[in-house]
Amino acid sequence: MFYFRLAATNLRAHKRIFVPFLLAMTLLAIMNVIMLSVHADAGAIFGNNGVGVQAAATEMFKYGAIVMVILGVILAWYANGFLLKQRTKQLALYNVIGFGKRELRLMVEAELALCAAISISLGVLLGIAFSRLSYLVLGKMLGVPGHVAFGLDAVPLLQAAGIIALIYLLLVLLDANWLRKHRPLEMLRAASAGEREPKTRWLLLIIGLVALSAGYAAAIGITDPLGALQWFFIAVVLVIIGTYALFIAGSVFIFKLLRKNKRYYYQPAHFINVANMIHRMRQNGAGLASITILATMTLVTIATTITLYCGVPQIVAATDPADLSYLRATSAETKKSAITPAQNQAQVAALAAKHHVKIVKRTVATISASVPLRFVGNRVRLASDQDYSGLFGPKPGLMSSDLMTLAHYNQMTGRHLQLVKNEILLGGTRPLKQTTLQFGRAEPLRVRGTAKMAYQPNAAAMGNALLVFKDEAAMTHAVRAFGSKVAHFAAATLAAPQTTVYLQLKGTDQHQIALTHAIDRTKLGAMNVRGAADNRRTVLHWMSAFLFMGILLGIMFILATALILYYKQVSEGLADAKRYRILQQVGLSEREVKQTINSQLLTLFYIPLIVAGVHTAIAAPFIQRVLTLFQIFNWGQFAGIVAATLAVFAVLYVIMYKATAQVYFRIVK
Amino acid sequence: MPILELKNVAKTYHTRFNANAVQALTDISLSVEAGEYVAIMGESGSGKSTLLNLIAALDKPTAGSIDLNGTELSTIPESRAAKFRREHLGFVFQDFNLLDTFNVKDNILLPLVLSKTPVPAMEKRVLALAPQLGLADKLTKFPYELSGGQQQRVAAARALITDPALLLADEPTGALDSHTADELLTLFGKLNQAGQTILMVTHSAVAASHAQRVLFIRDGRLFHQLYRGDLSQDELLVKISDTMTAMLAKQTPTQAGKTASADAAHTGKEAD
Ligand SMILES: Nc1ncnc2c1ncn2[C@@H]1O[C@H](COP(=O)(O)OP(=O)(O)OP(=O)(O)O)[C@@H](O)[C@H]1O
Ligand SMILES: [Mg+2]
Repeated sequence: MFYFRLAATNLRAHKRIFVPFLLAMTLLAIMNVIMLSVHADAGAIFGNNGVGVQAAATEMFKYGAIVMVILGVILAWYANGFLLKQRTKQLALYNVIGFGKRELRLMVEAELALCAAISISLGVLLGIAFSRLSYLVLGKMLGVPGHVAFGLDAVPLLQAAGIIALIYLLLVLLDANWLRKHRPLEMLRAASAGEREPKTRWLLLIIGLVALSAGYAAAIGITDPLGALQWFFIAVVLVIIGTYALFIAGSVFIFKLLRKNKRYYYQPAHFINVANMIHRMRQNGAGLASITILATMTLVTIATTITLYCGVPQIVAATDPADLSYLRATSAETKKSAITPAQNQAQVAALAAKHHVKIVKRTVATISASVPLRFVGNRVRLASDQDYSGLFGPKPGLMSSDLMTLAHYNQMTGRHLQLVKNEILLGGTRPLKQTTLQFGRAEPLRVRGTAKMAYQPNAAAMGNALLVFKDEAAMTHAVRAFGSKVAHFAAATLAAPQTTVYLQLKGTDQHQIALTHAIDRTKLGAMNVRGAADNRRTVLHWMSAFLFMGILLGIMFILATALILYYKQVSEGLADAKRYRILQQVGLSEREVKQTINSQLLTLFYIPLIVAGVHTAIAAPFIQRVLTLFQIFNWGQFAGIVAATLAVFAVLYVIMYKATAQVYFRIVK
Repeated sequence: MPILELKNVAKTYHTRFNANAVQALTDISLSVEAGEYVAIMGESGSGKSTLLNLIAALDKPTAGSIDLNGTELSTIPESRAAKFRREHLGFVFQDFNLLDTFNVKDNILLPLVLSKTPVPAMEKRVLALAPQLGLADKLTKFPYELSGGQQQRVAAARALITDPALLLADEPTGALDSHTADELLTLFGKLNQAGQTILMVTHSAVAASHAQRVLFIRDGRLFHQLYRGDLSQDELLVKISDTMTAMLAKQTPTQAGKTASADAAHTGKEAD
């Protein structure tokens, strides 16, 4: 009890260092609560989507939560180190008045216990508040499905509290070890006597190089988007390890190299900075690496979620090229149905009228087969798994292709075209300029003209192509020419064509959705009824949720970055104050001192920004490949969003840097 | 022609939180000839460091003029003060003030680097200077690897590397034990014999007895000065001790004259 009272006094007496620490730990608790809540509720948030997407989202947030915990441990470690360093004097004082190691340890443990109680309870409360707030705002503004109860689940709250408690336990162990190893009194003397020159840590340097190159290689080289999610997180962890190791060991190595170069080193501008950097990097490497990782996470999170949000039309268009479509199963196609195509059309028209929706255009397309094809020059082959794993997603020329007989094409378009043997029609959502096409080893077919697509694609997703053959025999011949087992299987299904009705509608989204449901419910020979409006609403919901989470996390990352920046400025200001006084006495003018400080701060604080930019650039193609899972194939758009995010973040970063640099200058003066 | 000349210098500190002004120096006039070795003594708070800071152009006097090596300090603009300090002065401090991020050689080279001296010229000078100060084998060491006396010699080397017209020292032996202090004072004596002008603030009568002249400051005023003349170091030491005793007893200089020696004039020159 005595120690707790003492600890409480200490916390109050050293507000200046404990408040930022508590703030950091509370922030960590909040971040974990939110991350774990989303992980727990990912199934519900993504509930309107396929099981695959749900699983992918849950998996993604699981790894996100792991990365968050790793980050939390490092951040806590860093903040705790700052705390210890700033308090050496105070601990020494207690030592002088008769506190032994045991008593000091108990006191520090009591302090940490108090901090844990405060930050966990505050973090959980604020975590609930933040999750709830985001939920409320989402619910109001964007209309997330009401059954998503995220932020209220007890499990993620307990998990987050447990994680933070474990982190505190780690800090207790670290502090105990620190107290065991150091005598505060000696520390005090050592601090005033100056510190020894850091050695180049070769092992760490090599680990860093290997980890970073392996991480980069994995991010660039693993191009299969489906299996790569796992790998991506391994790459993330590798890059994080590499960043820390290189900031700590690599920087000392580089600055020592610079010192060896006398012409460079013995210049006023470089002399002081290079020597300072060698010493500072040991203490600051970890902090700078943390800033880098945080900045990268901010950039990646925000850019990705914005892209997803902007990609809603693409996502919808991929599954729903027309406003409304259904598979027609009428007496014309199946023997079983009692409803004729004419009845089907009339009933749909009646329903549309009843739901205040006008049918602008109606297209009936009978497709013999739909196969993924890769167009390379004049050659066409069946797409393989590898074709989906290009650097930025599917390789160019990959098209989801519909095969149609000329008879069905004429039926669809109401024309009377003729094709001779070895002639086809070719059309696509992307321009296809081939004049001949060669399927596998078959003799080339001549492209007679452009085939009109059954629908107007709403947005450019992965390419869609339409191939019109003279007849079923010609089609079978072409597909068999691919020569694989899959091709033979596909050829066998050609005899059972499917008829899809595409409707272009006019009416509010709400009416369209009602119509979609009505057609689905009424027995009029319509199967697999899909409404773009319906889908768009769902997709928009969870992309909004995603974007919202992304921005929320981004804010958290930025706050954490600001906190570390602040810590660094304070501790470095204190360390440098004496150094600059000496320089002034030796003959450096105030202006020169200021210049030196500025150039040093600039290097120190812009390196993380630059490295974060590089990390993001390396990660971008990979993320784009993952985005193809969501049917977003427009990597130019993603690159633009990344660049814009980077620019905005850079501005924010400069503002944070300027603000915290004030603290530094005030201390140094 | 004196190397340093102060005329009616005064310094008043205005603290930010206190309306009271502190009169740190009042009407100080003195001159130092080239090649002289002058010690300044006085109680704590008497204004010795203030005086040194004014001479080093680290601060500006409230009144009076300071002429150093033919330049009136007040005419030097703020922006060039640092350069002037670098080129004409060397400064040695009580607590060494070495930069712990530099090794010995780089600490010594610091002023030369700031003056953009070419690398070969710098190397030549440091290699010539280091043996004189007994630092030849310490050049690659870092300050934390050195003893206090060695660190102070590094600080002295840093002050001397630019070949300054005047070497200023503020209690250079303050943090050293008597043996190391003695070594440093012997070194200063040698440097002075080689022609180096030295102005040294000290609390120690022994340290002051190495000088050719000793100035006493009390409450910001020049209280008294002693010349070595033909005296031996021990004889000078006795006189210094007597003057200190008189000064601490708050006697006037004339009363002090009785206890000290009759040939010590107030501020006038001693007749040799
Ligand atoms: N920056 C300052 N602001 C206000 N007052 C000051 C400042 N520096 C010195 N003083 C005051 O001026 C007077 C002279 O101080 P100074 O440092 O010159 O004394 P000193 O003779 O060097 O003493 P010591 O032997 O203890 O070093 C003292 O009363 C001191 O309090
Ligand atoms: Mg002093």
